Amino acid sequence: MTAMTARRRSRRLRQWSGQAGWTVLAWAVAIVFFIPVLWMVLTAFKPESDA
Amino acid sequence: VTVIEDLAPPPKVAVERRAASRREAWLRRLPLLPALIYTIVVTQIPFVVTLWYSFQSYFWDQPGGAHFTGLSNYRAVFTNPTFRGSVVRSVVMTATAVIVAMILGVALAVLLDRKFFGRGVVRTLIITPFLVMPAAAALVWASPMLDPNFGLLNYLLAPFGVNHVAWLSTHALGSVIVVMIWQWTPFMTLIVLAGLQSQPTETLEAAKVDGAGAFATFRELTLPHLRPYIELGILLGSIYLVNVFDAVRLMTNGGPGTSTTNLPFFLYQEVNNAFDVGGAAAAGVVTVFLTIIVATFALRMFARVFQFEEAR
Repeated sequence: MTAMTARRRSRRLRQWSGQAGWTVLAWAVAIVFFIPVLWMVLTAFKPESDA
Repeated sequence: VTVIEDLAPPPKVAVERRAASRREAWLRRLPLLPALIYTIVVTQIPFVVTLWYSFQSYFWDQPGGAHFTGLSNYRAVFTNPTFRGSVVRSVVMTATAVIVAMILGVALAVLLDRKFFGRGVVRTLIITPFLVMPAAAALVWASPMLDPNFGLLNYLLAPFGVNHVAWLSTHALGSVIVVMIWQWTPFMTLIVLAGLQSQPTETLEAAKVDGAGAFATFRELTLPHLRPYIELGILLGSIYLVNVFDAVRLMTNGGPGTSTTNLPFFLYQEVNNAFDVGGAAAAGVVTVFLTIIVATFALRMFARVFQFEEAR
């Protein structure tokens, strides 16, 4: 019973860590793609001397 | 008797019915006529006018108007080393950008097809570069991103020993290609993602039950399924990217020298700097045919690659 619970817990941990890995990768790629757009949006709020 | 019956003229009723069905078919097509006329007006007439100008000697800065000059504009185009160089650069820029954008697009589509935290937001962030106007994208990359002194890229690479690199002077062609890839990867991602989401889950489950690994499933099932989507992305990407002008004009102005001069920028220079309307028209006609050849060649090549993969 304890072994089964431990196995289930380790499977769940593996699943969670896999999903966390994909989440981190996806967010990292999204930020890389979005940085120039974000820069453009932020620059739009600055006066010409600060841009 | 049978032969005589076969040769006999068709009965009047049958002829009338056929005429009526033909009339009906034309009536069904009639609503399409405005769209057809519009398409002809906006696509074919400008091309015919360009074709006509390509056989004329017509300079904006010379009095006398246009006069017929035969094939001399085409002769001048094909003997011009700048034109030949711009053809090669257009092919290099288009092929590199389309291939890299498609590889990244497939990878991102596979990533976005999975379930993870904030998937909707990530999809929106990745698609955004495609929604930015090409001129605005070129300006953002030219100055805030790639500037040798204030650019973000040099700032981020400074810890790795990269300092004050003038990307647009030392790596001009690469910089323009990077911007093209950045803008077109989301488009490829969207097309491939549509393909991935139309894939039947039963086949994937069956492959899993049979013990196929993730890579084998992707290579043997997903990739052949994505073939028409990848072909479409490559075709549309090639047609659009061969016409890239904004990035070249605003980032490098075709330079240093002619190192980033592609076909559209060459045409612009012909008209804007040399005032040679006839020469630019001839170069434009050649560009149209080259685009058709490149698109056909790209499609055939990828179709052959996929057929080879399917045959294995």
